Amino acid sequence: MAAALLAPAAGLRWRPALDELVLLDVATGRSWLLDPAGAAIWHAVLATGSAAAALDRLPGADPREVEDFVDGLVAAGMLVAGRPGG
Amino acid sequence: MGDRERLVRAVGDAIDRLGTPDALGGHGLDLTGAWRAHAAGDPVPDELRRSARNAALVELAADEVLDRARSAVRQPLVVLKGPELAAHYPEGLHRPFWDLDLLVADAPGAAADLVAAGFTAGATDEDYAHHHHLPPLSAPGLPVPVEVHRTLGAQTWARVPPTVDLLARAVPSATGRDDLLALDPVDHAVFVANHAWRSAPLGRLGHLVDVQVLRIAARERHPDADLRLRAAARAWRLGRVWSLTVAAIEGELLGSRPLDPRLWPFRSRLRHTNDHSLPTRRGEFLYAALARPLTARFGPLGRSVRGPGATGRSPSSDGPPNRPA
Repeated sequence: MAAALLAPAAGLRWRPALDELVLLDVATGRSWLLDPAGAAIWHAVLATGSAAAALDRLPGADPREVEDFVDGLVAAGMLVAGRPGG
Repeated sequence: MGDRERLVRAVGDAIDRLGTPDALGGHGLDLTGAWRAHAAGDPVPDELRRSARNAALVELAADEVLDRARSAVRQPLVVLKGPELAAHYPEGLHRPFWDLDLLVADAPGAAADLVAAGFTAGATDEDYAHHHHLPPLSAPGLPVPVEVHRTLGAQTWARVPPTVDLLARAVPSATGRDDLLALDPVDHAVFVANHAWRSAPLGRLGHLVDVQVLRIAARERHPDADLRLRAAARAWRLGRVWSLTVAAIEGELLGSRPLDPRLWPFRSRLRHTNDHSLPTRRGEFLYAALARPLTARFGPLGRSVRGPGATGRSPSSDGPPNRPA
Protein backbone atom coordinates (compact mmCIF):
# COMPACT_ATOMS: atom_id res chain seq x y z
CA MET A 1 0.00 0.00 0.00
CA ALA A 2 1.36 3.41 -0.99
CA ALA A 3 2.30 5.77 1.83
CA ALA A 4 -0.05 8.65 2.44
CA LEU A 5 1.45 11.87 1.11
CA LEU A 6 0.68 15.39 2.16
CA ALA A 7 -1.49 17.39 -0.21
CA PRO A 8 -3.33 20.74 -0.08
CA ALA A 9 -6.74 20.60 1.53
CA ALA A 10 -9.72 20.71 -0.77
CA GLY A 11 -10.80 24.28 -1.38
CA LEU A 12 -7.38 25.71 -0.63
CA ARG A 13 -5.99 28.05 -3.27
CA TRP A 14 -2.72 29.89 -3.27
CA ARG A 15 -0.97 32.61 -5.21
CA PRO A 16 2.40 34.33 -4.91
CA ALA A 17 2.65 37.88 -3.60
CA LEU A 18 6.22 38.84 -4.49
CA ASP A 19 8.32 36.34 -2.50
CA GLU A 20 5.49 35.52 -0.10
CA LEU A 21 2.54 33.20 -0.60
CA VAL A 22 -1.11 34.02 0.03
CA LEU A 23 -3.42 31.09 0.70
CA LEU A 24 -7.21 31.16 0.83
CA ASP A 25 -9.61 28.48 1.97
CA VAL A 26 -12.57 29.29 -0.28
CA ALA A 27 -14.92 27.22 1.84
CA THR A 28 -14.38 29.21 5.00
CA GLY A 29 -12.85 32.46 3.77
CA ARG A 30 -9.82 31.95 6.02
CA SER A 31 -6.57 33.21 4.57
CA TRP A 32 -2.91 32.85 5.46
CA LEU A 33 0.32 34.54 4.47
CA LEU A 34 3.51 32.50 4.28
CA ASP A 35 6.82 34.34 4.43
CA PRO A 36 9.48 33.53 1.81
CA ALA A 37 10.92 30.63 3.84
CA GLY A 38 7.44 29.26 4.50
CA ALA A 39 6.55 29.60 0.83
CA ALA A 40 9.65 27.61 -0.11
CA ILE A 41 8.67 24.84 2.31
CA TRP A 42 5.10 24.85 0.97
CA HIS A 43 6.25 24.36 -2.60
CA ALA A 44 8.79 21.72 -1.59
CA VAL A 45 6.18 19.71 0.32
CA LEU A 46 3.73 19.93 -2.57
CA ALA A 47 6.41 18.65 -4.92
CA THR A 48 7.53 15.79 -2.70
CA GLY A 49 4.62 14.96 -0.41
CA SER A 50 6.36 15.05 2.97
CA ALA A 51 8.54 17.18 5.20
CA ALA A 52 11.35 14.63 5.08
CA ALA A 53 11.38 14.45 1.30
CA ALA A 54 11.05 18.21 1.02
CA LEU A 55 14.41 18.65 2.73
CA ASP A 56 16.13 17.52 -0.47
CA ARG A 57 14.77 20.67 -2.10
CA LEU A 58 15.61 22.96 0.78
CA PRO A 59 19.39 23.11 1.02
CA GLY A 60 20.60 24.42 4.35
CA ALA A 61 17.20 24.20 6.02
CA ASP A 62 16.99 22.97 9.60
CA PRO A 63 15.13 19.62 9.45
CA ARG A 64 13.48 20.22 12.80
CA GLU A 65 12.21 23.64 11.78
CA VAL A 66 10.86 22.30 8.51
CA GLU A 67 9.10 19.46 10.30
CA ASP A 68 7.58 21.81 12.85
CA PHE A 69 6.43 24.17 10.15
CA VAL A 70 4.81 21.36 8.17
CA ASP A 71 3.15 20.08 11.34
CA GLY A 72 1.71 23.54 11.75
CA LEU A 73 0.32 23.48 8.23
CA VAL A 74 -1.29 20.12 8.93
CA ALA A 75 -2.69 21.34 12.25
CA ALA A 76 -4.19 24.36 10.51
CA GLY A 77 -5.89 22.07 8.01
CA MET A 78 -3.95 23.47 5.08
CA LEU A 79 -2.22 20.17 4.33
CA VAL A 80 -3.96 16.83 4.59
CA ALA A 81 -2.86 13.25 4.14
CA GLY A 82 -3.59 12.21 0.61
CA ARG A 83 -2.22 9.93 -2.05
CA PRO A 84 0.20 10.58 -4.90
CA GLY A 85 -1.68 12.61 -7.47
CA GLY A 86 -4.64 12.86 -5.10
CA MET B 1 9.38 47.85 -30.47
CA GLY B 2 5.80 46.58 -30.28
CA ASP B 3 2.83 48.27 -28.66
CA ARG B 4 3.11 46.16 -25.53
CA GLU B 5 6.82 46.71 -25.05
CA ARG B 6 6.34 50.43 -25.58
CA LEU B 7 3.61 50.47 -22.94
CA VAL B 8 5.65 48.48 -20.41
CA ARG B 9 8.59 50.81 -20.88
CA ALA B 10 6.40 53.91 -20.56
CA VAL B 11 4.81 52.65 -17.35
CA GLY B 12 8.25 51.84 -15.96
CA ASP B 13 9.38 55.38 -16.71
CA ALA B 14 6.27 56.75 -15.02
CA ILE B 15 6.89 54.62 -11.94
CA ASP B 16 10.46 55.85 -11.72
CA ARG B 17 9.25 59.43 -12.04
CA LEU B 18 6.46 59.12 -9.47
CA GLY B 19 8.71 57.39 -6.97
CA THR B 20 6.74 57.18 -3.75
CA PRO B 21 4.32 54.39 -2.88
CA ASP B 22 1.64 56.98 -2.20
CA ALA B 23 1.97 58.48 -5.65
CA LEU B 24 2.03 55.03 -7.26
CA GLY B 25 -1.10 54.06 -5.36
CA GLY B 26 -2.83 57.24 -6.41
CA HIS B 27 -2.13 56.46 -10.02
CA GLY B 28 -3.12 52.78 -9.71
CA LEU B 29 0.45 51.69 -10.42
CA ASP B 30 1.36 50.37 -6.97
CA LEU B 31 0.98 46.71 -7.87
CA THR B 32 3.16 47.04 -10.95
CA GLY B 33 5.59 49.08 -8.87
CA ALA B 34 5.80 46.29 -6.29
CA TRP B 35 6.44 43.53 -8.82
CA ARG B 36 8.85 45.71 -10.77
CA ALA B 37 10.94 46.44 -7.67
CA HIS B 38 10.84 42.77 -6.70
CA ALA B 39 11.97 41.65 -10.16
CA ALA B 40 14.85 44.10 -10.04
CA GLY B 41 15.93 42.83 -6.63
CA ASP B 42 15.24 46.21 -5.07
CA PRO B 43 13.74 46.62 -1.61
CA VAL B 44 9.94 46.68 -1.77
CA PRO B 45 8.35 49.29 0.51
CA ASP B 46 5.84 47.94 2.99
CA GLU B 47 2.94 49.78 1.32
CA LEU B 48 3.69 48.14 -2.01
CA ARG B 49 4.16 44.76 -0.37
CA ARG B 50 0.71 45.13 1.16
CA SER B 51 -0.69 45.95 -2.27
CA ALA B 52 0.76 42.73 -3.64
CA ARG B 53 -0.69 40.69 -0.77
CA ASN B 54 -4.12 42.25 -1.13
CA ALA B 55 -4.12 41.76 -4.88
CA ALA B 56 -3.19 38.09 -4.50
CA LEU B 57 -6.00 37.53 -2.02
CA VAL B 58 -8.54 39.30 -4.23
CA GLU B 59 -7.44 37.33 -7.30
CA LEU B 60 -7.82 34.06 -5.39
CA ALA B 61 -11.27 35.01 -4.17
CA ALA B 62 -12.31 36.35 -7.56
CA ASP B 63 -11.51 33.03 -9.22
CA GLU B 64 -13.79 31.27 -6.77
CA VAL B 65 -16.55 33.86 -7.04
CA LEU B 66 -16.45 33.62 -10.83
CA ASP B 67 -16.69 29.83 -10.56
CA ARG B 68 -19.75 30.10 -8.36
CA ALA B 69 -21.36 32.83 -10.44
CA ARG B 70 -20.82 30.87 -13.63
CA SER B 71 -22.34 27.78 -12.07
CA ALA B 72 -25.32 29.66 -10.69
CA VAL B 73 -26.35 32.06 -13.44
CA ARG B 74 -28.30 30.57 -16.32
CA GLN B 75 -27.40 33.08 -18.99
CA PRO B 76 -24.24 34.37 -20.67
CA LEU B 77 -21.96 36.44 -18.43
CA VAL B 78 -19.87 39.30 -19.76
CA VAL B 79 -17.00 40.28 -17.44
CA LEU B 80 -16.36 44.03 -17.35
CA LYS B 81 -13.22 45.88 -16.22
CA GLY B 82 -11.32 44.24 -13.27
CA PRO B 83 -10.12 40.74 -14.09
CA GLU B 84 -10.83 41.15 -17.78
CA LEU B 85 -8.59 44.19 -17.96
CA ALA B 86 -5.97 42.48 -15.81
CA ALA B 87 -5.89 39.60 -18.29
CA HIS B 88 -5.07 42.03 -21.10
CA TYR B 89 -2.13 43.54 -19.22
CA PRO B 90 1.18 42.54 -20.79
CA GLU B 91 3.86 40.73 -18.85
CA GLY B 92 5.52 43.16 -16.50
CA LEU B 93 2.36 45.13 -15.75
CA HIS B 94 -0.16 44.22 -13.06
CA ARG B 95 -3.69 45.50 -12.65
CA PRO B 96 -5.38 45.38 -9.25
CA PHE B 97 -9.14 45.16 -8.86
CA TRP B 98 -11.58 44.93 -5.98
CA ASP B 99 -14.87 43.64 -7.31
CA LEU B 100 -16.48 41.82 -10.22
CA ASP B 101 -18.73 43.54 -12.70
CA LEU B 102 -20.93 41.28 -14.80
CA LEU B 103 -23.13 42.42 -17.66
CA VAL B 104 -26.12 40.24 -18.43
CA ALA B 105 -29.30 40.39 -20.49
CA ASP B 106 -31.57 39.76 -17.51
CA ALA B 107 -30.02 41.37 -14.45
CA PRO B 108 -32.80 40.57 -11.94
CA GLY B 109 -32.78 36.96 -13.13
CA ALA B 110 -29.01 36.71 -12.71
CA ALA B 111 -29.20 38.26 -9.24
CA ALA B 112 -31.91 35.80 -8.25
CA ASP B 113 -29.72 32.92 -9.42
CA LEU B 114 -26.83 34.25 -7.34
CA VAL B 115 -28.99 34.63 -4.23
CA ALA B 116 -30.26 31.08 -4.69
CA ALA B 117 -26.61 29.98 -4.76
CA GLY B 118 -25.91 31.65 -1.41
CA PHE B 119 -24.83 35.15 -2.40
CA THR B 120 -26.14 37.87 -0.12
CA ALA B 121 -26.62 41.62 -0.38
CA GLY B 122 -25.10 43.87 2.25
CA ALA B 123 -27.02 46.64 3.92
CA THR B 124 -27.14 49.77 1.83
CA ASP B 125 -28.88 53.10 1.85
CA GLU B 126 -28.34 53.58 -1.85
CA ASP B 127 -31.22 53.54 -4.27
CA TYR B 128 -30.44 51.16 -7.10
CA ALA B 129 -33.90 51.22 -8.68
CA HIS B 130 -32.75 53.28 -11.64
CA HIS B 131 -29.06 52.50 -11.41
CA HIS B 132 -27.08 50.74 -14.13
CA HIS B 133 -26.34 47.82 -11.82
CA LEU B 134 -28.08 46.02 -9.00
CA PRO B 135 -26.91 46.15 -5.36
CA PRO B 136 -23.60 44.30 -4.83
CA LEU B 137 -23.85 40.64 -3.87
CA SER B 138 -21.22 38.70 -1.95
CA ALA B 139 -20.36 35.06 -1.51
CA PRO B 140 -19.95 34.22 2.19
CA GLY B 141 -16.41 34.77 3.39
CA LEU B 142 -15.03 35.90 0.07
CA PRO B 143 -13.99 39.55 -0.09
CA VAL B 144 -14.98 40.24 -3.70
CA PRO B 145 -18.48 41.58 -4.29
CA VAL B 146 -20.32 41.08 -7.56
CA GLU B 147 -22.20 43.84 -9.30
CA VAL B 148 -24.73 42.62 -11.85
CA HIS B 149 -25.11 45.25 -14.56
CA ARG B 150 -28.25 45.73 -16.56
CA THR B 151 -26.43 48.23 -18.77
CA LEU B 152 -23.18 50.18 -18.83
CA GLY B 153 -22.95 53.27 -16.66
CA ALA B 154 -22.35 56.53 -18.49
CA GLN B 155 -23.11 60.22 -18.42
CA THR B 156 -26.67 61.27 -19.06
CA TRP B 157 -25.82 62.62 -22.48
CA ALA B 158 -24.12 59.42 -23.65
CA ARG B 159 -25.89 56.93 -25.87
CA VAL B 160 -24.76 53.56 -24.58
CA PRO B 161 -25.67 50.73 -26.96
CA PRO B 162 -28.45 48.45 -25.77
CA THR B 163 -27.18 45.56 -23.69
CA VAL B 164 -28.58 43.07 -26.19
CA ASP B 165 -26.36 44.60 -28.90
CA LEU B 166 -23.28 44.55 -26.66
CA LEU B 167 -23.94 40.90 -25.84
CA ALA B 168 -24.45 40.02 -29.50
CA ARG B 169 -20.95 41.18 -30.38
CA ALA B 170 -19.27 39.92 -27.18
CA VAL B 171 -16.07 37.91 -27.50
CA PRO B 172 -14.41 35.16 -25.44
CA SER B 173 -13.01 36.46 -22.16
CA ALA B 174 -9.28 37.15 -22.05
CA THR B 175 -9.21 35.48 -18.64
CA GLY B 176 -8.86 32.18 -20.47
CA ARG B 177 -12.12 30.80 -19.12
CA ASP B 178 -14.21 29.49 -21.97
CA ASP B 179 -17.42 29.90 -20.01
CA LEU B 180 -17.15 33.68 -19.75
CA LEU B 181 -17.50 36.46 -22.30
CA ALA B 182 -16.11 39.97 -22.59
CA LEU B 183 -17.14 43.04 -24.49
CA ASP B 184 -15.60 43.42 -27.89
CA PRO B 185 -12.39 45.33 -27.10
CA VAL B 186 -13.71 48.31 -29.08
CA ASP B 187 -16.78 48.54 -26.84
CA HIS B 188 -14.72 47.81 -23.75
CA ALA B 189 -12.16 50.49 -24.56
CA VAL B 190 -14.77 53.22 -25.03
CA PHE B 191 -16.58 52.09 -21.90
CA VAL B 192 -13.41 52.04 -19.81
CA ALA B 193 -12.30 55.43 -21.12
CA ASN B 194 -15.62 56.86 -20.10
CA HIS B 195 -15.61 55.07 -16.76
CA ALA B 196 -12.22 56.62 -16.04
CA TRP B 197 -13.57 60.01 -16.99
CA ARG B 198 -16.44 59.58 -14.58
CA SER B 199 -14.30 58.57 -11.60
CA ALA B 200 -11.06 60.57 -11.89
CA PRO B 201 -10.91 62.59 -15.10
CA LEU B 202 -7.36 62.83 -16.38
CA GLY B 203 -6.16 62.04 -12.91
CA ARG B 204 -4.75 58.54 -12.92
CA LEU B 205 -2.17 57.01 -15.22
CA GLY B 206 -3.53 53.54 -14.48
CA HIS B 207 -6.73 54.54 -16.29
CA LEU B 208 -4.70 55.42 -19.35
CA VAL B 209 -2.95 52.04 -19.17
CA ASP B 210 -6.36 50.34 -19.03
CA VAL B 211 -7.49 52.06 -22.20
CA GLN B 212 -4.21 51.46 -23.98
CA VAL B 213 -4.24 47.68 -23.35
CA LEU B 214 -7.74 47.57 -24.82
CA ARG B 215 -6.64 49.65 -27.83
CA ILE B 216 -3.92 47.06 -28.38
CA ALA B 217 -6.45 44.23 -28.03
CA ALA B 218 -8.78 46.00 -30.45
CA ARG B 219 -5.99 46.34 -33.02
CA GLU B 220 -5.31 42.64 -32.76
CA ARG B 221 -8.95 41.82 -33.35
CA HIS B 222 -9.84 44.40 -35.97
CA PRO B 223 -7.48 45.62 -38.71
CA ASP B 224 -9.36 48.92 -38.73
CA ALA B 225 -9.51 49.21 -34.94
CA ASP B 226 -8.59 52.88 -34.67
CA LEU B 227 -11.40 53.81 -37.05
CA ARG B 228 -13.81 51.57 -35.19
CA LEU B 229 -12.83 53.06 -31.85
CA ARG B 230 -13.41 56.61 -33.04
CA ALA B 231 -16.68 55.64 -34.68
CA ALA B 232 -17.89 53.81 -31.58
CA ALA B 233 -17.00 56.73 -29.34
CA ARG B 234 -18.88 59.12 -31.61
CA ALA B 235 -21.86 56.77 -31.72
CA TRP B 236 -21.89 56.70 -27.91
CA ARG B 237 -21.63 60.53 -27.98
CA LEU B 238 -18.31 60.19 -26.22
CA GLY B 239 -16.10 61.37 -29.05
CA ARG B 240 -14.54 64.14 -27.00
CA VAL B 241 -13.90 61.87 -24.03
CA TRP B 242 -12.23 59.43 -26.39
CA SER B 243 -10.09 61.98 -28.21
CA LEU B 244 -8.93 63.52 -24.92
CA THR B 245 -8.12 60.11 -23.48
CA VAL B 246 -6.11 59.10 -26.55
CA ALA B 247 -4.37 62.46 -26.48
CA ALA B 248 -3.42 61.87 -22.83
CA ILE B 249 -2.17 58.36 -23.60
CA GLU B 250 -0.04 59.46 -26.52
CA GLY B 251 1.02 62.83 -25.19
CA GLU B 252 1.64 61.98 -21.56
CA LEU B 253 1.88 58.24 -20.96
CA LEU B 254 3.67 57.13 -24.12
CA GLY B 255 5.18 60.48 -25.08
CA SER B 256 4.70 59.56 -28.72
CA ARG B 257 3.40 62.99 -29.69
CA PRO B 258 3.25 66.45 -28.12
CA LEU B 259 0.69 66.89 -25.40
CA ASP B 260 -2.59 68.24 -26.73
CA PRO B 261 -2.96 71.87 -25.57
CA ARG B 262 -6.38 70.98 -24.19
CA LEU B 263 -4.57 68.84 -21.65
CA TRP B 264 -1.98 71.37 -20.53
CA PRO B 265 -4.01 72.35 -17.44
CA PHE B 266 -4.00 68.71 -16.34
CA ARG B 267 -0.32 67.95 -16.90
CA SER B 268 0.59 68.36 -13.26
CA ARG B 269 -2.31 66.15 -12.20
CA LEU B 270 -1.17 63.41 -14.55
CA ARG B 271 2.49 63.67 -13.69
CA HIS B 272 2.85 64.30 -10.02
CA THR B 273 -0.14 65.01 -7.89
CA ASN B 274 -1.44 62.67 -5.27
CA ASP B 275 -4.79 64.40 -5.34
CA HIS B 276 -7.03 61.94 -7.12
CA SER B 277 -10.20 62.91 -5.36
CA LEU B 278 -13.25 63.83 -7.33
CA PRO B 279 -13.06 67.20 -9.02
CA THR B 280 -14.03 70.31 -7.16
CA ARG B 281 -17.20 72.07 -8.18
CA ARG B 282 -15.29 74.33 -10.54
CA GLY B 283 -13.16 71.45 -11.78
CA GLU B 284 -16.24 69.36 -12.32
CA PHE B 285 -17.65 72.04 -14.58
CA LEU B 286 -14.41 72.17 -16.53
CA TYR B 287 -14.23 68.41 -16.99
CA ALA B 288 -17.86 68.25 -18.03
CA ALA B 289 -17.37 71.13 -20.45
CA LEU B 290 -14.39 69.38 -22.01
CA ALA B 291 -16.07 66.04 -22.31
CA ARG B 292 -19.56 66.92 -23.44
CA PRO B 293 -20.40 66.98 -27.11
CA LEU B 294 -21.45 70.43 -28.26
CA THR B 295 -24.99 69.29 -28.96
CA ALA B 296 -25.34 68.17 -25.37
CA ARG B 297 -23.87 71.35 -23.96
CA PHE B 298 -26.27 73.56 -25.82
CA GLY B 299 -29.22 71.22 -25.95
CA PRO B 300 -31.76 70.62 -23.23
CA LEU B 301 -29.28 68.59 -21.20
CA GLY B 302 -26.75 71.37 -21.36
CA ARG B 303 -28.53 73.28 -18.64
CA SER B 304 -27.88 70.55 -16.12
CA VAL B 305 -24.11 70.56 -16.05
CA ARG B 306 -24.33 70.26 -12.29
CA GLY B 307 -26.87 67.47 -12.58
CA PRO B 308 -26.17 63.86 -11.69
CA GLY B 309 -24.78 63.16 -15.12
CA ALA B 310 -22.20 65.90 -15.14
CA THR B 311 -19.53 63.54 -14.00
CA GLY B 312 -21.90 60.63 -13.70
CA ARG B 313 -20.69 59.60 -10.26
CA SER B 314 -23.09 56.90 -9.22
CA PRO B 315 -24.13 55.69 -5.79
CA SER B 316 -20.96 54.33 -4.24
CA SER B 317 -20.80 51.80 -7.03
CA ASP B 318 -17.58 52.67 -8.72
CA GLY B 319 -15.43 52.17 -5.68
CA PRO B 320 -13.41 54.64 -3.72
CA PRO B 321 -11.82 57.34 -5.86
CA ASN B 322 -8.35 55.96 -5.32
CA ARG B 323 -9.23 52.46 -6.38
CA PRO B 324 -9.47 51.07 -9.85
CA ALA B 325 -12.71 49.22 -10.47
